[in-house]
Amino acid sequence: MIAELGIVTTGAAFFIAVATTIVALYSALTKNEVLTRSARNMLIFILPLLTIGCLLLIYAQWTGDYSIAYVSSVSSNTQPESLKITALWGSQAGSLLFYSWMLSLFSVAAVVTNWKKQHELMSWVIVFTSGTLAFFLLLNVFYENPYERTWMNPNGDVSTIESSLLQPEGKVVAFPWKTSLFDRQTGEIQDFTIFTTGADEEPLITNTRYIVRSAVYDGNGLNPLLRHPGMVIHPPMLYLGFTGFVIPFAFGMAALAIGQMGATWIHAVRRWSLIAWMFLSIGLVLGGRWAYDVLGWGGYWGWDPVENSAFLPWLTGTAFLHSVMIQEKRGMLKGWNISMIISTYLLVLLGTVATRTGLLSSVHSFAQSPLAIPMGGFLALSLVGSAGLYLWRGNQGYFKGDHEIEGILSRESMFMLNNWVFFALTIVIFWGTWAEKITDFMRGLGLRESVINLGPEYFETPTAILFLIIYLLMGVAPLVAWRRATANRLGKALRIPTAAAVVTMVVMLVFGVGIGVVLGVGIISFAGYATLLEIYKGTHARHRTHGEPYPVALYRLTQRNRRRYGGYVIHLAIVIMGIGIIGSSLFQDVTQRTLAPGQTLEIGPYTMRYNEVFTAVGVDDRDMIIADITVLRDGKEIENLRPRQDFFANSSPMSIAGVHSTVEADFYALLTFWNGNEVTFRVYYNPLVNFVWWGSFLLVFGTLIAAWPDRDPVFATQQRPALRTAAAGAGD
Amino acid sequence: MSEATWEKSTELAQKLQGRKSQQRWLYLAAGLALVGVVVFLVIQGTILGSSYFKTVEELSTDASLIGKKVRVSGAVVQKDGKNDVRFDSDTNTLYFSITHIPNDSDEIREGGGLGTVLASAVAKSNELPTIQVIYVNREIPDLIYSDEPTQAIVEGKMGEDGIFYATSLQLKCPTKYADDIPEQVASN
Repeated sequence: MIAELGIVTTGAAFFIAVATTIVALYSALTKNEVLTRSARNMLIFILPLLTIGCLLLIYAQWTGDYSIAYVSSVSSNTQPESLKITALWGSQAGSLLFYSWMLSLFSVAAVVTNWKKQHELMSWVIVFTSGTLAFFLLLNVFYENPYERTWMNPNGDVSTIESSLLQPEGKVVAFPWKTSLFDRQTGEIQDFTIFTTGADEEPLITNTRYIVRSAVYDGNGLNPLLRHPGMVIHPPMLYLGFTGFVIPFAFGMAALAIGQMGATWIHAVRRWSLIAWMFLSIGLVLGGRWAYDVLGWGGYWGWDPVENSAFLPWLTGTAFLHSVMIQEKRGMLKGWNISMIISTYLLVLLGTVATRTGLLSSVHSFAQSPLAIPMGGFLALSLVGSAGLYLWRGNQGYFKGDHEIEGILSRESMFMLNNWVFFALTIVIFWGTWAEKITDFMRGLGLRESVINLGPEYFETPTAILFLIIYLLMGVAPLVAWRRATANRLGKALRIPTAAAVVTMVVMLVFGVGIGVVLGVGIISFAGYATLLEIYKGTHARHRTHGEPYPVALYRLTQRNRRRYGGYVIHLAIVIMGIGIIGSSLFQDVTQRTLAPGQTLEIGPYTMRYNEVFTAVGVDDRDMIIADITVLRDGKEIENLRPRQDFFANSSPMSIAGVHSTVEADFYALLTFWNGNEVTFRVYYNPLVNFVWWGSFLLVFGTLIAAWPDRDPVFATQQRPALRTAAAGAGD
Repeated sequence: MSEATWEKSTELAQKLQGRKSQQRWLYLAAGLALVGVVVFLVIQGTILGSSYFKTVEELSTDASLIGKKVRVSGAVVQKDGKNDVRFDSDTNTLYFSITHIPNDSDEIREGGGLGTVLASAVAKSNELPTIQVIYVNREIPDLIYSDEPTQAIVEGKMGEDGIFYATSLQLKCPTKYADDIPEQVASN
């Protein structure tokens, strides 16, 4: 019953999404208000359908309806309740449904909240959001349907088992039983999944070679690697980021379609973009945290193709967030902004394609799936469609700016430079990620003889250089005036942060740090000092003019100019993360040693003593090999840790590190091999790695400050002229 | 404020015009410099960081590949239904062998998918080209101890001695994640 309901609701959602797109397109072309309203109502109607679709699947996971193949693959009787729910996004088909639901939620929210304010854009916004939604639902309904079931002949003949969406003729639903058999011939115990025709019908083994030891109606359960809190929150965050960027894209394309290239569409989607960007950032950081905790290699970012695929839209999205400010303030870069949001959308689609089709060789990708062709097709269609519309409007001269850049040394040109560097980073990482596929494709055409693959070494130097340029701009740009700045004044403003950065560098040199690192940290700390100084200057000015104590002055200042100070907080967060990345990647220490009980090894300031090794069985039947170790510092015992390896009946083993975490560094120990009492440990000393995680908290905080809704719009508009003069007075 | 005291004289306009064309040049120069740096970095990175994707067969027959950085994918050879892996804990060295599987994704698809291709390669590993791999003092992926057919993607150099010295090891075990109907024992 659940499966049938699910098939009907998601199927209906797909057909309505297609119809919505057609109706909206027709209404946009004929400017028919009645049809626009119909399209809106149809779009809204998709949301409850998909909500029901998701809830049905969760219900099936919760109650253990393992006749649904997806439920069996991600849920099991012994799985913790919370994971029975989050299994909705535990594998391909379910997560695709969840993705569609989010997209539908965002589309409805964006259309409803902007219905009056941005009415002329609405029919086109519906075209682009429901078109994207229709595409994802197409995949969901026809390629990866989570409601697919397993079927067999009523006589229980195993050779007739097949999975299919609709009931094949003469077959009934098959139910999986986890069965443990004793093999008389070999004397071994073996585990099988045996399908029967009922959830209360135990498998009947007529072959006398086997004795049934136990049989339980059960599912396989979630892949153990994904039973980690980071992995539970990571996919929804990433999807929120991905689907969130569809909204600014739809608005941008709508503005392009009706030829209104002013800043109105940007005002409408400014907060959307910020929030989408924040979720994408959280998703990226959580993915790194998961890799650090679960994948057992002491790192959090490996330039893996799938990681890169999520990073690419983040880069163009970040460029977009910066460059829209020029269009709002000065009416410039109209075409560039559109092209950045189109790139972000295309990279989101490409990222989805890469993750879901196994197109890129990666540790993260889902198994090979039949999605490659429709996804590639849609990607091509989006590329051609958006590029065509862009070039058409461009040729008509719609992108001409209201102003031109006046001074080479101006806020505008700094923003331009920032965007170029972000775009350069995108290209560098894009090539590194897709070189294998591109050269493979060229080989197929006979243009090349061999396929090349670019490993982490490829990415390190170019990205480090480009990121340092970005940090430099991050420090300088906010000090440069709009329109035209003088080198003299800028030099004065830069004096203090430069001096502070130089002092930092000299101190590091005295401590014998290598010149490359000193330069890197110097530039990053310069950005940090410059930002802090800006915040201090603003607060100090307010403290003097309004007589407010510093904390109050800072609070009021931020409240008055949330976007600017929220941005500064984000910049500080990026500075902290940058220092964490330099520390943990360049000063990481690693050693691998085999120890007998009582023996010790040294790493960084720590001593590790190995006490004992033992086995245990976890609640979900995992077998665990656990080593007990003690971490010492200066001869004092600090913490007892238990690095372990977990083994599962039907999945690959997993290493869980023992971690002692402090402000300064992580001590990170892995059990890699054991032989009797002797255990081989791989131990990492990761300095400053926690800066990466803490920086991300600050980043979220900063984004929330910047994106917080205005309390009273009337008050805000009244205040605006006054603010502008005040800001100009402060040398803005 | 300099902006506030602007005079629109023709002289100033000319000066502005001159400044504008000068600016355009500066922009062009900055843009070209950035493009140049990026292109240089990408090309250099591609040369230094790239490795050629080869099959076990190519690697074991083509002597010109000895000492060159290559990336090779193969099925981990099994013994008694388990990956045949030896780890020497005194020297921190991992020993295993990989046997030939096709490189081409189309060929793998025609062969019935990666899982099937790996299983048949493992079954016929004594007939197919096989190379021994040595992996010293690095992190060991958990999957290496798997009992399912496993794909190993190793990067490193082929030694004169016919042994492959790997510097990175990536493993894939497609059957572990396949959502297909599990094999069923004959119950009739």
